Amino acid sequence: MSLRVENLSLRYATGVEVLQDVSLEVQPGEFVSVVGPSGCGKSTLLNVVAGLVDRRLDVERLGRVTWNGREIRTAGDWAGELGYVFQRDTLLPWFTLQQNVELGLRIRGVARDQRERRVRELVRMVGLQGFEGVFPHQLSGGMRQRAQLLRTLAYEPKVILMDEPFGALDAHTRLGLQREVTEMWTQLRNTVLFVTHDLTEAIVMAQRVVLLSHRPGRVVEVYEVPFPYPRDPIELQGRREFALLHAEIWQGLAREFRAQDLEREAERPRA
Amino acid sequence: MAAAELEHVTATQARTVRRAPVASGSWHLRTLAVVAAVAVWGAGTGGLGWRPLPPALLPSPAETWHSLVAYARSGLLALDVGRTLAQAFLGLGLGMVVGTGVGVALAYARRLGDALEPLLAALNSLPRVAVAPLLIIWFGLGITSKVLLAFFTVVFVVFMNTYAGVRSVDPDLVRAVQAMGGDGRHVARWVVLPWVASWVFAALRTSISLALAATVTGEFVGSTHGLGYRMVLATGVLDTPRVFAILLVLMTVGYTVVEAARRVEAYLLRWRPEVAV
Ligand SMILES: Nc1ncnc2c1ncn2[C@@H]1O[C@H](COP(=O)(O)OP(=O)(O)OP(=O)(O)O)[C@@H](O)[C@H]1O
Ligand SMILES: [Mg+2]
Repeated sequence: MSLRVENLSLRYATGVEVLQDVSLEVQPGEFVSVVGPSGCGKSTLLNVVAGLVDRRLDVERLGRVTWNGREIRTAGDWAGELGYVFQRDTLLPWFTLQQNVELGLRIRGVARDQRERRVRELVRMVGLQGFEGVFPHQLSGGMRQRAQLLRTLAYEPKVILMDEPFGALDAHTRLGLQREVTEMWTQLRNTVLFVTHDLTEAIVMAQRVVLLSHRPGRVVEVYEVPFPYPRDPIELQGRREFALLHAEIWQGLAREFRAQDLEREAERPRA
Repeated sequence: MAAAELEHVTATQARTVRRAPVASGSWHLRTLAVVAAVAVWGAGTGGLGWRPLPPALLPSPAETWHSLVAYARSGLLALDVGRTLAQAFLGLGLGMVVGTGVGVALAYARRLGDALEPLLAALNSLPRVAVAPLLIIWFGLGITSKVLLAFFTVVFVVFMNTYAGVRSVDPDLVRAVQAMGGDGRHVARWVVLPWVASWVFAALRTSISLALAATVTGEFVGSTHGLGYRMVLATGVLDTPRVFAILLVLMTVGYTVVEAARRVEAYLLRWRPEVAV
């Protein structure tokens, strides 16, 4: 009974080998972060887990993804239990903020007044009140990112995939949202797979941190984060244990960066 | 169902979105431009006591106006406008319905779409007024031949736009709806329909003038009523003021309809960011 990625390898039709024998198990109610160099396949991993990589796009796919023993081949196999906060802005441009956040609830047949109540409380949580009737193109980048987060949290999915959900936010908003998301998680205990390029964020939020290698992505190491919840991100960062763990993962990450640089150096055509 | 959904999409938006006001003065400038155009026309046709061309070649604004008034008084103007518009709109309506329908169907049935697309694109590049004589032979001088000509002119344009529209839907938006548990119907209503609407409106704008042009051409070739028919009669007796009057009517009718469509489009597609190029 868990989210399992078993021996997943994937090569896109362009010939790029993106994932290599990735295995991962996330227990129900567990919060796991994924870090790794840019382009190593983190988004691809989440897309495969979501069942969203079109079969026409990859030429080679080995391994499988299961949720509670059920194999996930397409998004439909999730039977409504999945939420995905994309790296790219995917708000529907013709819907207002309110309408975008409601979509998941409409799919689930929630009545209009209940939807409105739910959206009102969510919007207040991330400081977007007053913008409910505004179109995505009239929001700032950070506001759109918060709206995307709300769109997923609104229907409280059992499993949540997040791909750098706080990427375009200022430090203050980011900290606030890290708090909100961990708080929500301690209450609801959804199963979370959280991709970020910010190592501090990865540690502060998760119970485990998965380090992926440079492309093609492999699981290099999985680190346990021993701090109990509720956590205070600021207080945590002042602790000695935090500093040690941060340094340890950072060294692993740095090794991947170096290996990537060396490989690129070797590939560069000579004059 | 589809239209209702689109209406819902947009009706809720009306409350909150305010437009920037049209630059003040643009209204006056526009009126001034029309007045200036008529003034130049009048000045070149005897208004300043100098008339290089006879009325039979280039009538003055006043002569055109008198001819128009006489045309209207005879009761024929209303009849002709009604006939021409009815034919153009029937053809346009049919073309829009069939064009969007076939466009959506072929875009979803990818293999069939791939097979038929070149054929339909080739038909689209055919100068369609060229079949007017054929249609008159087949369907006679009445309404049917003009409606079919307008339909035939419009349908491929609408089809090509709809087809390209459905195919250019952003796959990431489709994935977003699928990821939250949406099925094919949710994707169609929330992603494909609003996106394709902007393509269909683009087709509608060109199709209006195409349908009018096709109808009038059909009336030239063979008919018993309509603005095009009246124009052929006037040309035959060198009644150039009447020809000009009819041209003015056609211009006004065409502009009014296109402008109305533009406003509906601006209202329905209010979600689009405005770009100043
Ligand atoms: N649809 C696609 N078709 C072909 N190649 C793709 C596709 N999507 C991603 N790739 C390639 O797969 C590799 C991994 O991409 P991915 O987006 O998974 O990386 P990432 O780890 O999320 O990077 P980042 O941290 O920059 O977001 C890249 O080299 C990219 O070019
Ligand atoms: Mg990514």
